[in-house]
Amino acid sequence: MIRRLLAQRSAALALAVVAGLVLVALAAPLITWIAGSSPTAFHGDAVDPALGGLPRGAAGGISTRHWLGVEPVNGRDVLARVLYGAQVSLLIAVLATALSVVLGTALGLVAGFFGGWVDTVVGRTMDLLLSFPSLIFMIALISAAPGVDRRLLLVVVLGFFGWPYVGRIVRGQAMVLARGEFVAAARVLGASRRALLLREVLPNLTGPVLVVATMSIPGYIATEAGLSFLGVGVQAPTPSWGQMIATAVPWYAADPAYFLIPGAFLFVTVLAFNVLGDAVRDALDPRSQRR
Amino acid sequence: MLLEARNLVKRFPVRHALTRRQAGHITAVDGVSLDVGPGETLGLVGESGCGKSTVAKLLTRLERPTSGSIHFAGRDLAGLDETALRPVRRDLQMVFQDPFSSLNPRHTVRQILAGPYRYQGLEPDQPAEELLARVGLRPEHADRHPHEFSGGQAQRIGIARALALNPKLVVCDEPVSALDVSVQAQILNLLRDLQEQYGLSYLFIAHDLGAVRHISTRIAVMYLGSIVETADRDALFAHPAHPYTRALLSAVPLPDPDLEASRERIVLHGDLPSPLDPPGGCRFRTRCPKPDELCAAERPRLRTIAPGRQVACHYPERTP
Ligand SMILES: Nc1ncnc2c1ncn2[C@@H]1O[C@H](COP(=O)(O)OP(=O)(O)OP(=O)(O)O)[C@@H](O)[C@H]1O
Ligand SMILES: [Mg+2]
Repeated sequence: MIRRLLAQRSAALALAVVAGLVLVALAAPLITWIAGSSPTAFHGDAVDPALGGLPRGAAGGISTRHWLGVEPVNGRDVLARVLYGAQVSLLIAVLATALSVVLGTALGLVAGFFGGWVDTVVGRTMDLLLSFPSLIFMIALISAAPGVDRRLLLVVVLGFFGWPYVGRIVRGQAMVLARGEFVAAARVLGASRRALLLREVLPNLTGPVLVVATMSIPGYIATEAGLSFLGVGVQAPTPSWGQMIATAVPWYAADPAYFLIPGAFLFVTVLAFNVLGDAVRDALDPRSQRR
Repeated sequence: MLLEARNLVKRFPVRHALTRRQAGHITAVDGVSLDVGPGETLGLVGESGCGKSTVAKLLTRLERPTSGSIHFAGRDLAGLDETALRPVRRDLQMVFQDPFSSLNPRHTVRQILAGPYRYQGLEPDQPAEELLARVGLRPEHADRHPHEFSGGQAQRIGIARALALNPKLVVCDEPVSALDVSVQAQILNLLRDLQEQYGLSYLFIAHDLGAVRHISTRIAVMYLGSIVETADRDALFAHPAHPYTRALLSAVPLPDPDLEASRERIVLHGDLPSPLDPPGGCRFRTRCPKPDELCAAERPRLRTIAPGRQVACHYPERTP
């Protein structure tokens, strides 16, 4: 599968971008140490109070000390904040995906395999969650829970509203697989229900689950950025791309670099994950090859 | 007898396409009784949709019968739950029609052949290589996945899996229908060799008489959910008593071209009636060449007309 994935040029590029991002996010402490910056330190000398706190120098104050410039007013280092922001954004998206995959696979598998009332309950719950105005609900829920770590809260809320997307696909597949002759063969051999679910059906779901997981990561990154932009996501001083973009909006005319840098990171990341998700789906498509 | 099934009935609910409400039922198996003795092969023959696979699923308890009994190894399997069935399953195995869909595509052959022991909670008794050797495959096949095999090889793996627990009876549901004609004979020979070697009994399902001729000791002919004739293989081929058996037999090609050219062909008219709405009286009368009022009024019961021979017809052909 990996070989087929890399055979697509766009996929190889997207994979490289994603790998690079993960690497850079992981190496954030190392890179900021080399650059001699910190995501939280204020640099009053890098901004010009006479101009309302605009960074001194061209392109948002890009210099050898601040490679991607500084924030207006308080002069925090943009590179450090973008890198630590990548850590936060990616971690939230990956954990929310993990939560929705675990919930969606478990519930979708049971619903599709057993049918009957289990399926009715799980199916209705998924319909309800999918038709919910979840963004409004997330905003309300997060605002109404003070004192909880926002990052944890985001993971839980995103995962909770996201599992039906996984569950729907797993349920459909499990329904087809449950009728398959290899499941009947295992039943004739005396397999328990647990063995049927875990040993016979589950391994056949890894492909579709991998595809929804890859495709849902960019959505979570974008939603987290959106919530942080709206002020209900990650809170300062913890950096996040959405939150950086939100604070940059009033400055877009005077200091476009401050807006463009986190915006570009967000755009490239979401695009790369989307391309990768499509490529994973193509690579697993049984119609395009024999696995 | 090893297996004695009596008056098996299976009804499936039929749901309305739109409302999903139950709109009635379909009687897929309607009072089937059959026996399989030790070392014997019972051939079960009938057109597509007559309920052969449903019989196989009832006997292996993949489906629960609506009524009737299945006596096997001293117990009635009809009402047993899955836990009680588990030990019985060691003696009662199944080979499926589609060799590929009956093998888990994600498992290696080794994992597939470990399944029987694992699901029974047993220590593996035979390594995969040994099981493969029994069915004429090589040890290096053990670490491949099902899609790397041909249909005939895949069916051999399915047979090896069914034999892993040393069963007494193997239900074979059209085990060669999905295979190339050139491979069919090899698989039939393999099944016969294994039968001799391990003293197996088979219930062998097929949709034409030609396929069961060489493997069966006795043959049962099914029509629309019921058995219409049972007889020893040679007796059935020599003197078919039920008009439906005669029609099926006339469709089997003869090896001798002169005989083939001169013999009478019985072509059945009309389609198989829907099992949703079977005809009253004798179910075969809509396609029978010689029905009368009695056939429309009364359904013929399966009765013994000669030793070892039962027919469900008011006017069976004479047998010597
Ligand atoms: N689970 C089910 N629900 C509803 N109807 C069913 C079900 N299984 C089988 N049937 C119906 O029961 C009848 C007998 O089906 P069965 O599969 O036993 O036939 P068959 O003789 O094996 O046919 P074939 O030669 O095509 O395999 C058919 O009319 C079929 O549509
Ligand atoms: Mg069938």
